[in-house]
Amino acid sequence: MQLDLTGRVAIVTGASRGIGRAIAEALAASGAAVVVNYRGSEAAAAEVVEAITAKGGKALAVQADVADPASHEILLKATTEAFGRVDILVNNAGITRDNLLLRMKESEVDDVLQTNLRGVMLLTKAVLRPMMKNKWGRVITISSVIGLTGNAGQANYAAAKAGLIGFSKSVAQEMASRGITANAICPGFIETDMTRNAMSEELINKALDRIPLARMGQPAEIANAVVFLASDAAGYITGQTLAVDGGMTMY
Amino acid sequence: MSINDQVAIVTGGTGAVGREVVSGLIQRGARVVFCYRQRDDLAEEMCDTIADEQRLIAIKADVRDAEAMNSLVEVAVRRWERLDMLITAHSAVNNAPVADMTLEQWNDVMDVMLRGVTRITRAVLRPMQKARYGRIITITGYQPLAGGLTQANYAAALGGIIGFSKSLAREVAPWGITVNSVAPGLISRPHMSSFDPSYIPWATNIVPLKRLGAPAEITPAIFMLANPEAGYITGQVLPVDGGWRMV
Amino acid sequence: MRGMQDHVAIVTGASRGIGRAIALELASWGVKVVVNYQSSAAKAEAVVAEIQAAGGVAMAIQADVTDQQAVETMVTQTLAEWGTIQILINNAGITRDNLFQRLKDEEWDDVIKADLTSAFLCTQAVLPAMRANSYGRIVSIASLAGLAGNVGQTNYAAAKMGLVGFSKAVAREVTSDGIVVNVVAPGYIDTDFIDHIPQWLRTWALDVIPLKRFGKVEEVAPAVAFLASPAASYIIGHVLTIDGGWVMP
Repeated sequence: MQLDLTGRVAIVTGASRGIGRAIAEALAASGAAVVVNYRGSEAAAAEVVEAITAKGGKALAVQADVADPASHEILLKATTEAFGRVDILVNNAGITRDNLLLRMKESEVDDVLQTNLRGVMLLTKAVLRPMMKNKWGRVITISSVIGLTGNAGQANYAAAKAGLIGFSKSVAQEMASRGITANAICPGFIETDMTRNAMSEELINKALDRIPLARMGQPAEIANAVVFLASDAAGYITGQTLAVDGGMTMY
Repeated sequence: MSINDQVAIVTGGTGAVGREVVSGLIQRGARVVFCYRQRDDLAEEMCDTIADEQRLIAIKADVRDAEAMNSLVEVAVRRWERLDMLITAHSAVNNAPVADMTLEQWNDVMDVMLRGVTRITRAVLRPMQKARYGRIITITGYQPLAGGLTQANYAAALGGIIGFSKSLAREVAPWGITVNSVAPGLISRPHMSSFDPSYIPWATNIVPLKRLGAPAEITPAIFMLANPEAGYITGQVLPVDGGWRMV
Repeated sequence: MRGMQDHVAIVTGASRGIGRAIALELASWGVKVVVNYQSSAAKAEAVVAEIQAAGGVAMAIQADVTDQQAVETMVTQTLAEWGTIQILINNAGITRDNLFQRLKDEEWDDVIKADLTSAFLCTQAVLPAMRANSYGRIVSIASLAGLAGNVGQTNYAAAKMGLVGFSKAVAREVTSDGIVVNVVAPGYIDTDFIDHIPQWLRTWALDVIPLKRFGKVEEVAPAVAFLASPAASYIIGHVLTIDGGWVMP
């Protein structure tokens, strides 16, 4: 199986920590050169690059705000200047502004849609052109099981993540003849700083009630699926939504 | 448009959901032939309560018997000269951990749940095709969608019902016959006390509505799909699960 | 896939088509493969020879997977030879297409037995060995026909969607033993099956599949191998469709 990504160039958005970091490290471990995109956490991104290069991998940290289309060109330019091409885009960056819908401020709606949906659409658009020239590409979008099931307090986030699934399927259809596949991954309840800090023990246990595997997932378990979908081996898989959730949705 | 004066066949009419289906159909003015396997007492009680022989016929018949299914249809057509709806509500549970499940347990559930649906369906298709109209609603469950502990046979059979219903929907669409499945979620049952005591707290925690469903809450979906107006809905699986899964 | 070296897999119906490709793929990752077959001994031996020529380890075992006794014997033979089983691929299957109203009882029963009951028997037979390791991977090969329905395939779709239900139920039961169960649902894949479909259907399918081609068996096998690997540790009860973007469920 061609899980060897040597010669491939990947952009991973929001790669300075959590799931994005695990994805960047896994792609690099499989041989891809990785652009570690970050918005504010310069030091954390540098740490990821260091971790990758220490293992003999290739990586570069590039600051860009996915929500801001002007910075997409900077990201793309930095990528091609450093590595000459772009083959894999992992749309991972995302934010949350949780609130019950009745209390949700307009800015909380806008911020989440701006980054998680609009930003992803426009960045993908920008990256598709060089992929089309290569007649090869992989767009892997990190949605969420919340996009499949909804969640109280996350109407904005759920809308954006569900939107990403429709978006990914459309890209799959538009790009099928160009050798570019587009797939979405729906992580379930993943153990990151974000979940650890934001949730009480009780809340975590309640959430685990819904998971047949009865544990949180690890960022590396999402990264494994990304590497597979990014490989040559996954060439006939497109427009799919892969749930990596310990059986929470059995989607 | 309504199902008033239309004719329905219901399998498993004495079951928890079956009873609600039968009485709901009668309330809406439909005429019903239902079959049941064992519960003479319940069948009798239903007939006594409804007390309208012009609208309700109970027949003791086993879905494992193809001939019996044919005669069920014959009775309906002979009596009322039409057949508009089929609702399969029969049920057979024979749970065991998959490691301990016998082939007999597997085959039994498969024969009643899946093969039973195909037998009665085979029987109703001819009059429906002749009339160029029909509504077939198969009751499946959450098990093929979400899995179910110690229910490998049941989940497989109910999954089979979904695959069958979708394929049949494609085959019989040209005759104006629609085929859909309703998938009840976690529903309270008469034998609930035999469940693991942790089950109800678990179920109420994970269902957004914070309670189990009642059998009578399954039927509105069935009647919606059985309505003449639902002619553009076919090949669907409609979960009725209090928002449990939302997938 | 990393970490599969010396794992033992049983692939049912592995003498040709998708099963053969899965056997070859797993072997290329260092998995020792039982190439199960029912009647095509020569073809099964050819798969074994191909694996061995590439430096892999494989053996062919004849077993009718609808026969409980035969399945148990196959598992016993595997354990006697290699001592352990980590992977089961429920791939064996047949089609007996007919419109529902013309479908004969035996066409229904044969398909349910071969495509669904077989998975139950094989899964049950390998569970003790997997439980002993506190590790296992079971991947069942369903079909897009099961998810979406198909004219002339009420029996096949019932069996394949039944396989999905079965897999999800088992997935829930065995997660606590470290056993992961998933489903792969191929769309139109270029195999012997495809040779039998009418030209108009072929033309139509090629038009509606975004990738404008049928899949190759080599494009299904890696996904199966991925789900059969340690890397797929948090994917449970999932149905992965491989259809060139056709249905996108």
